[in-house]
Amino acid sequence: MAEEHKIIFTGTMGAGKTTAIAAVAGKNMLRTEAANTDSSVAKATTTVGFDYGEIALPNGSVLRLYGTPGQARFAFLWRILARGALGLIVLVDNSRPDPLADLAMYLDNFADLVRRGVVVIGVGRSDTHPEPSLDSYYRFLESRQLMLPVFEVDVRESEHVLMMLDVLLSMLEMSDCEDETHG
Amino acid sequence: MERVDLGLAEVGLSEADGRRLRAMLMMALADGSLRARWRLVDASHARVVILDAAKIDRLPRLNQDNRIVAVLAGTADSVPAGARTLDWPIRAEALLALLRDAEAQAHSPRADATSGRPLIRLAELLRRTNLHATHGDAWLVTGMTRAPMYIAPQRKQFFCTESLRTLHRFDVRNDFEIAPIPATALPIANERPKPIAMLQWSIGLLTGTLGPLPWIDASATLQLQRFPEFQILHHEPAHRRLAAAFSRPVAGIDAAIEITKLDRHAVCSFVNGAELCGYLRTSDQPPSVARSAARTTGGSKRSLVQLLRRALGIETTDG
Repeated sequence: MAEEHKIIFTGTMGAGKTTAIAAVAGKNMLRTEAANTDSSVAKATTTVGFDYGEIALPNGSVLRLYGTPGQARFAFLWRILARGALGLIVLVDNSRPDPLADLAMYLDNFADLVRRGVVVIGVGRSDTHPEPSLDSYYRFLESRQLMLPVFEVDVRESEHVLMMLDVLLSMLEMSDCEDETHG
Repeated sequence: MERVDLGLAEVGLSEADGRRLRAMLMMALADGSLRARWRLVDASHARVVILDAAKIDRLPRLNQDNRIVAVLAGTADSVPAGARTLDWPIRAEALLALLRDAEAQAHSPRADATSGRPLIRLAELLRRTNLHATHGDAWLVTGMTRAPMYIAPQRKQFFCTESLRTLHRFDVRNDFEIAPIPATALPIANERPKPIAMLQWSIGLLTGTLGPLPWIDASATLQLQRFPEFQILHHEPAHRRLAAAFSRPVAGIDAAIEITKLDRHAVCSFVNGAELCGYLRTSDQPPSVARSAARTTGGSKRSLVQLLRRALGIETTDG
């Protein structure tokens, strides 16, 4: 029977969710972008609904990749999108004033996926903004008694996006079956 | 079988902990399950050393000659990655387990066969670069790759004009040379340095054919404290699955083989690589939740994951 599976990409505005989904979904992507009116973020457009990419599976099922709008006012939408998701990729922009606080917000809002351990964190722009370091991210996660993968990535590189997806699938594969059924 | 004499030493313990250690040793000996005659000796003659966490700076010097060093640590103490720990206060069962492991290692043909190998020596050198007390010297490695390799522990870098792919083809049975050199002999002006984690990881993978590194207790609980930086480390798809498995506590190498359905070589390579990079945490405490392949890799979930990997075009040759 054909099934639908979904993976969520979240992160602050400009973190690269749209780029990441486009890197793997290619043409099979729907964007809901509008002109950006937030002058603090240097990008012309931003996602106002959600990004959506689709990958057909050989058995007729489909993998849907959703990119959430970044702003906290859309938290209600994040929770709707997260229902039944296989996993979550959080993209953090290291050039923002407090990337760890950004991460905390997403971890709090996707608590169920976090509890199941099916989350991968990608840190962007660490080449120009090396702090917080990966050590800081792992210390932060440890303070929350979490052990999640954190990678410095450039989402324009499709290999980086695929690497995060593969690690996420591995986390899913190695997560307890019981947890999954509760998710 | 003839009983051998093995030594136990303590370094830096308080008087009270020293008394407790002696009492626990008496209890462990009274248990009757130990194969060796254990006695208290000075650290230089000991097979096992109990090191107080306050004296952690002495760990690198003690961690030699296949000696097992267990750091006596309370919950507030910080212990370097990869160091074996003994929970404070010392309990007879924990001491007994430690002494049994040392006996097993002393009787292991692998330990004898590999103790002198340059590859294990190089692994020990690379492991020490994670500790705070690294010395100012550098190392020159010749015979592993066509071009010489220079290791700069203090800079956490190495220099080699060749790709590490060459290193992965190295036959571990072959000999090579490791020589200390002054830091001034490093080719800093001529060659581009690489992060030492790349070399630590690659040497760890190579040692996988020899089993777990001599100082890794294969039955201890193992867990990653951070993920390998797969973007820069030469790795295989199986390593991502292993990293996911070790993101939670795993009750030793055999348990990891069962959970991941990968072979011993793959698991040992990953564990050794993670250990040398300082990504691995070991503990005497069993995982709070027992894991098994049945719980973690149910058939339908595994099939789904494989299906998704194929659809995404992710390489799964050894997955």
